[in-house]
Amino acid sequence: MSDFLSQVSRRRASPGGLAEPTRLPWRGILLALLLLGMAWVVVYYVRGYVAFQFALVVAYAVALMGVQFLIGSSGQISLGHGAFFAIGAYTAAMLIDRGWAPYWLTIPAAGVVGFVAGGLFGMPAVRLSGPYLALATFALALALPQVLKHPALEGVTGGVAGISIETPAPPYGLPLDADQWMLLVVSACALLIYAMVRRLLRGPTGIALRALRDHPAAALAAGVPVRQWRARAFATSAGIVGMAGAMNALLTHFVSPDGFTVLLSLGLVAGVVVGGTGHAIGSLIGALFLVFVPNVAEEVSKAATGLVYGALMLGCVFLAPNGLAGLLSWCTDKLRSKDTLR
Amino acid sequence: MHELLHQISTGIVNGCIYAMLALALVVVYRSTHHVNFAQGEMAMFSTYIAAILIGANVPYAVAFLACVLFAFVSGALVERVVMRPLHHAPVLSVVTVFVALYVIVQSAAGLVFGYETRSFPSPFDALGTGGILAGHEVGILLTTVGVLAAMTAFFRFTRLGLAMRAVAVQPLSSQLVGIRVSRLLMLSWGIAGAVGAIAGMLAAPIVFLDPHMMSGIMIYAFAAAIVGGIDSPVGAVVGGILLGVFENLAGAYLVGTELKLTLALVAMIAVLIVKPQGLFGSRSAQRL
Repeated sequence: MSDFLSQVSRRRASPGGLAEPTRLPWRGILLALLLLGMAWVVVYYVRGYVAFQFALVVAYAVALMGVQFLIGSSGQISLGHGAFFAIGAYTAAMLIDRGWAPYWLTIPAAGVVGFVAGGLFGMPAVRLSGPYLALATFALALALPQVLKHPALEGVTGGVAGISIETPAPPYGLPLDADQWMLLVVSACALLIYAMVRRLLRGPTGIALRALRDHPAAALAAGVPVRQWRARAFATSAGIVGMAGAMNALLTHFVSPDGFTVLLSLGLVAGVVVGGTGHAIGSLIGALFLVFVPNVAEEVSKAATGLVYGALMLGCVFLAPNGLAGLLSWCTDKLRSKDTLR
Repeated sequence: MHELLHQISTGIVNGCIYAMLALALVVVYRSTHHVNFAQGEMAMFSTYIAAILIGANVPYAVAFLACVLFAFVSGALVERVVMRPLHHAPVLSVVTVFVALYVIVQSAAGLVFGYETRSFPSPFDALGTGGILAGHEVGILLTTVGVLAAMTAFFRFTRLGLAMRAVAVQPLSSQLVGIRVSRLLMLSWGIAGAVGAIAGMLAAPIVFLDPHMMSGIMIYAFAAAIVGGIDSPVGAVVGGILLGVFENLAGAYLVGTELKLTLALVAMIAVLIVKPQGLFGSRSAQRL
């Protein structure tokens, strides 16, 4: 969708389909300046708990990017990606706890582990479609905390108590506090992952996935091995969500089975639905929603979080089928088309 | 030997509860081709209604009827208000709505009734014979048989049941011969809600009443429906009882009770891989 929109805007910029003259890559330069500006703001103004919360937003945005990749691009619905989030988080915590890897290496490692786990679960599971896949993954989300708590695995997972890890300190004596440093690290990783996903979706992979999402039979007839691509998409999204889990573990310094309940998995789907499946900015909107709504709602009552999640999901299905990001771009489109018409 | 018999019979009793909830899922699936994730939570909420009435010294039978009626009406209302506008919506919207219902009903129960676990009385304690089964377990068996007989009779011998079967097979043609399809969809959601509520009231004395009481049972009911074939009522019952026995035997002799949900997951995935349409389900032509 965002690809499509950018194509549309590009076409508007060059009426009559004339070849565009070579120009400086303004968008890239602007983006770089914006990022530098944001980093500057972080270094000077955002510290401590605020930095921590924004870092959490970034981690959740990555997780939502993964789920969005699955739902939005390949059309499969998973209610169990909290399980891969947990797998990533445990991978990072165990690697650091045993001293097997420096903290920055745990994020790609968690991605690899998540990818493999997603592939192993996905290969049989992607034969299911629609509600069946949702069901099987839902059962996965319910079952994983039990497995993590199981006494036989206590030596590995730390059982009910979980694993605590140390805070990574900023290197070279940089004048940053630990939360600021982690915010910068996590944001850099998120940008990298975003660039990779974007690249993937613009290439042949994106075309194949969109084809099998929109019409599996036609895609198969056109030479897209549907099951293989579904399994690949599932594994990739699990890998992305695993990296988000590792970020989350690095930020909170702690993993335990009760941190990865069903509500996390359902929250990931809620975030994608509320943010919108078709827009990159949707995952950021969804992440803001996931981090700040429970904060506010918990103060009202224990049940309020669930009620707000549910109500927003219902509202989005009925009023904004493309999520808040879709609503936003619809509004800007309306404004813009008014301008050009008059 | 006695131990083994005990495990099997307890498994059958648990399986009856799974079977009834699975039956509710099948009724909804056959009419609308949706799998209702929130079925268990709706049953839990109705069970709370019964618990409140019983707490106010209303006789059990009256509370039971009121609870079933509440479940019937609320099920029909959910179909009318939430599901009908989504008749041709994409799968993501439908799944989202079910997840939203799941979360909303669970949180609403927590908000209204509180999160502390409550006990729930059983009317069948006098049935205990001192044999393998306790009184409540005998009651579960009898109730399940009763519900199954009533449903079979309804679908086989009444015009309404015939109409509902027609709608399940050919909604468009049914509409053309003058059946009011939308009414019947509401009716089937109502029936599913009522059957689910009965399962909830039977389960509550065993697992105790709290807002999360149905989540484990629900996963087993899903698994039962899938093992038996999601569009087959007979399959739901057989699948439920099979899974109940499997769960108890595996829990007692194989892996211990900590991994009960994992067992359901494994059973579900195994069946879906080997025989995707389930034991009694009808094979669908779409395979990709």
